[in-house]
Amino acid sequence: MGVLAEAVVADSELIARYLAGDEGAAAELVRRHAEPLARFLVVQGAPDDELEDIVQDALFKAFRSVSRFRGGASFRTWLLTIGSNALKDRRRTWKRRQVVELTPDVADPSADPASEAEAGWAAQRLMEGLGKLARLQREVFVMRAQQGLEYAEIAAALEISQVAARVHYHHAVKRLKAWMT
Amino acid sequence: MDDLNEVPQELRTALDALEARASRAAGRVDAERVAAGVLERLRTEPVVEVPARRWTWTGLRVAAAVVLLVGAALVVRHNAARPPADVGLALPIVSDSLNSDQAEATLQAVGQLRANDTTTTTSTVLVDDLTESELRALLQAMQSTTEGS
Repeated sequence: MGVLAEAVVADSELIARYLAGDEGAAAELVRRHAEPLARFLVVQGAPDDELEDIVQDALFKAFRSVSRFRGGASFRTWLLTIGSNALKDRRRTWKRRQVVELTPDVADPSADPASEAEAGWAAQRLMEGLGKLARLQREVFVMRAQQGLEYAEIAAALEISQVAARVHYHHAVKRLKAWMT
Repeated sequence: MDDLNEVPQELRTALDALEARASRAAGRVDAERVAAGVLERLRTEPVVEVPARRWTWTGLRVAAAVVLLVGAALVVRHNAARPPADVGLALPIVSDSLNSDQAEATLQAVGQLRANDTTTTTSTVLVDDLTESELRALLQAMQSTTEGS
């Protein structure tokens, strides 16, 4: 075919290289995980204007403590939990700023204005509902519904049982359904 | 496992809309700039040793329990007319915050403090009021519970 398949280096290998002093390995991990982490944080209420800062902060903290990463969950999932903590730290400084308002520039300009407005309302409503959930309920719901993670992975990352993860998810769905109707 | 079927439709629509918004916002995050920033911070910011929080919390809990128990015990001793049930008021606090090993070590420490106590007549005892030997006994109890937990 003339096309060489590029070998995908596992996260665990990149972590080992970083711990051995290879900064390029850390940069590669950032390239891999910054965008999914950012999406996860936005759904949890991170404001656009601080999103990159929070992503950077979470990744910095992750690398600082990566030697303690045990591999019970994937690096991605572990990073999401660190991102949640970084977001929680930011929230302390925002005081009353619980929910981020949608701003006009985040809407897709190519979409139909009426459907875009409806989608924007639904997104905003859901974000408000997520903000009202208990933290574990919110994290389990977003990890499951947005990131598509298995309960075993979620449970390992959040250091809870799989049964507890399922219960948190169930309660989150129940509360969000009630909130949306 | 079908993830899509796990999210009710009324939530799926809203989640899709929110995900679209999240994707647009995440698309504005510059991964190269983030990587450069992270590496710069890793190079320049000093590594801060995290204190042994668990030991500190355990120690604080044991110390608080000791102060409560010693205070309660001395109050009871100086007020014979008071019904013994008052002592029990402090016990739920202890049982809620300590595991069985910690509670046992705490009670032993209190027993030792009471055995040594021949002159104290005040009804309130703080850590500052303890003598050197009493403090040593307290620290010993805290260390043994920390090592055991």
